[in-house]
Amino acid sequence: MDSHQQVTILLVEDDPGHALLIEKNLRRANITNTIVKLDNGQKAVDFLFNDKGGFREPLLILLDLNLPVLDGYQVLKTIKNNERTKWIPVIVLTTTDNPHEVARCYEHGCNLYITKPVEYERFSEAIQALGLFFSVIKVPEKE
Amino acid sequence: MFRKELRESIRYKFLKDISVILLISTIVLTSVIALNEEKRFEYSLMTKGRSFASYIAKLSLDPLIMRDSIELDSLVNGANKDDEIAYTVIWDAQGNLITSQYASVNYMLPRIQTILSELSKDSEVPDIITAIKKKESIIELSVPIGVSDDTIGTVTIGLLEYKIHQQIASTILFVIALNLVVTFVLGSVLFIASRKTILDPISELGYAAERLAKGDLSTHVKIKAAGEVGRLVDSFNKMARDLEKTTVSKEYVDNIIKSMIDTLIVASPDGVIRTVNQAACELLGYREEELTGQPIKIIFPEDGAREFDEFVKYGLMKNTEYTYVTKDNRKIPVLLSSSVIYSSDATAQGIVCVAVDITEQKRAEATLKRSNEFSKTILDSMNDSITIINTSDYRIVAANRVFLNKFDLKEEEIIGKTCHEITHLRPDVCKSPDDPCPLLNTLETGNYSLVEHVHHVSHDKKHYFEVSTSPIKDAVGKVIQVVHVERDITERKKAEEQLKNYSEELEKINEEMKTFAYIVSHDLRAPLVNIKGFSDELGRSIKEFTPLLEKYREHVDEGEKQKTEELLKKDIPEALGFIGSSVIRMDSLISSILKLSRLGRNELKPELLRTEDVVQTLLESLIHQINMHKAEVTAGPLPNIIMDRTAAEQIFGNLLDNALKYLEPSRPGKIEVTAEQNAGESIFTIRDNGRGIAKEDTQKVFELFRRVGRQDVPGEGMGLTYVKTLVRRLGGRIWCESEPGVGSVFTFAIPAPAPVRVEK
Repeated sequence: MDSHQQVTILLVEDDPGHALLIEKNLRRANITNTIVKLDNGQKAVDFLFNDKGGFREPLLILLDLNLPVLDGYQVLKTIKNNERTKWIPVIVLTTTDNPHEVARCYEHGCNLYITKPVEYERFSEAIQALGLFFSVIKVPEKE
Repeated sequence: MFRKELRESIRYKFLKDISVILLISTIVLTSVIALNEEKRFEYSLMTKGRSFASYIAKLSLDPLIMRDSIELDSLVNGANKDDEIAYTVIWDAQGNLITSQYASVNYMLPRIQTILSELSKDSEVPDIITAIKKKESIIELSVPIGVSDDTIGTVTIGLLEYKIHQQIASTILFVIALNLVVTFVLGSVLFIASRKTILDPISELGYAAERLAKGDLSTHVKIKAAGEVGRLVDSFNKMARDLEKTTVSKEYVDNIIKSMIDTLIVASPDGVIRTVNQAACELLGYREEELTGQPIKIIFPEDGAREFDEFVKYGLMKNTEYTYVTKDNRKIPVLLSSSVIYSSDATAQGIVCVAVDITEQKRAEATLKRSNEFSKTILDSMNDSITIINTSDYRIVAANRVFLNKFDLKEEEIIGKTCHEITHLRPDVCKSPDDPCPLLNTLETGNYSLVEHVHHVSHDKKHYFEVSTSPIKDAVGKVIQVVHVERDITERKKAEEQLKNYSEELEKINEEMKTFAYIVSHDLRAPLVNIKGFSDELGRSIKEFTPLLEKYREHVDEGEKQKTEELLKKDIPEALGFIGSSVIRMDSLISSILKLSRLGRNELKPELLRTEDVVQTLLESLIHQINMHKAEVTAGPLPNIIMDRTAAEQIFGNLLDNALKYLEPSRPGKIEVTAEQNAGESIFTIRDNGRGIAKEDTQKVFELFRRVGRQDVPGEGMGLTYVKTLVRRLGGRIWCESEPGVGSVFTFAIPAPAPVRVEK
């Protein structure tokens, strides 16, 4: 578990309610990692490329698509087109289940696409399952 | 008949005579030669025999004196080797035979052998010679043996004549053969030589004379010949020519008159009909004897008769339109020529009238006039402006009413002007690509041509025209004129432009609507996640909070305790329950809107569908509902369609599902699927005997989330909206007819260019 403790989760979500619900459920799944919450795409890009605010890689990114300033696709593209950041796993977590958008995200290199169900029980299950997934995922480390 | 003619023809006779003469000459010649030859051969044989005998006599002198019979035998035997000698014998002076039998007779010759074989073996030489002489014609020669007059013996040679006969026979054969060849060659040469000069001209003259005798006065012999035959031919031709010039038989003239197609009437100067021809009788309906001797005025109308008198006075009248009256009083238009015949002393002998019936011509003229008027009426009644233009010089030869009105010109102001100067106000011919000239196209291809033009109606006003030209061809297929049709399409152009704008605008709105529906449904969802999430979180919190509260409950009074109990166990969960169920409902509505907005974007894959199979499969999947409602579902013969399979399944599925859902439980359900093929459409009908829909609601059923009637059956109010959207997207339409308590009929029509057949 030691190595997992070092992984920082970057949650890019403009809706503070959603952000809180995601965090609550992750914690409920015993995820104790640091969770950095950012409320627009530009902030996420700035965080990754300019000022990491004292956080060290490796990272895991939970990304919403409907974001102000820079939207989720732009953020995803920027991450996946950069040699240094393209290794970071990106999980798109959004409200729409439109097959076109799902396909578009995978095309841009997203590692996982999860829909936020309106029914809270299913939402809760999904996030907790994601937490379980974090406990087995191997995130690349960079010196 | 023919053979007899042949036997009597001059050529045959000539040939026969030549043959007979030549044959006789052959026989005579052959006989003379044969006789002459016989004598010659005989003479030469005897000469040969004599010299032979003399030779033997000379050689046998010494042996005879010595009586050396062996030597004599060998001499004789040597002589007998010749095949013309039958025997050679030597006698002494006393007439005793000196030579032996075997030496004397020529045993080598087969002819002699035959004779010997008939004699006895021991026959003497004289007997043998007698026997040979009897059988063969023999020339016998005897030559004395001796010195000067002292004869000591005789040599006798028997010469066979058969060789002479053979030679004569072969000579005669040769002469005959030679004669035949000479005869044939000579005969042919004679025949050919005489044919050109004598035989053909005479034969030709014979035939010509025959024709002449039959009355063919134009007979003329064309053969060129010299001498007597030439003179004969020339004389014959001259005679024939003279005969032709001078002789015109009455019958000949009658035939000419009879066979004339034109009518001929000859009248005497006092106006009595003398001669009429067959054509005149037929035209006027009289028999010949009914007309001859009658006054000519009976065949003219009353006023015409007076006019005719003037013609007679005038003497000559050419091709004048006139009228004849028939026996049954019909008037016939004729083209009449008449002429007065004068005798050598200038007195009128008669009037000849030749007339042609021109009824047909008159009728054709009338028809043509009507046809021209008809064409003009058609042209003038057209709303397009039409002109007829020469292809050679672009000049207008005719124009219809609309064209004239449009340019406010009179016909005479347009005829002869060029098309481009009238319609384009330009001196030169229209040029592509700005103003393609359809006339040039038609001239080039020989076919109809259609182009669009901008025409100047006046100096400052432009109009759009659709201009077509259709070829008018002459007898050999050359395009000499065109029918030039202009249709003002300015209004249509404007309408097309406007339609295009509307269509683009509509497309834009449609696209915005789709995006709008998508964004709205997406953005509406995000707050719902929060509402649901936090109300559930709130529920959890209360659950966690309840045991904590238990500690403080002892300190409060029963009333407050009761109240807290009620709040925690009933009011709060109830409120949270409502929030939760509303959110779920809201989410489902949003999902529906999303689904509809996506429907407009889905790609449709049209394929050939066996509609009956599609419906059957759907009915099998609905078997549970069908049984539950005890419904009877029938699907009639349905045409095959070309459609997206999923779309077809959803349309039929929703309509069938609805029909089943809203059946009246009090009576057995009955659902019918039928179809008909209309012009360009396949029309499908789903009829049920369910609860029905109020008349004012038959439109509303297709609206989104709108549910009409009793709300006792679960549903979203989406199905029919969905169906309607699909049908519209397929270019079709859907409508509903219904009567409450009786049943509903849902009908949809989708475009189908032709009935589609599926190969089995």
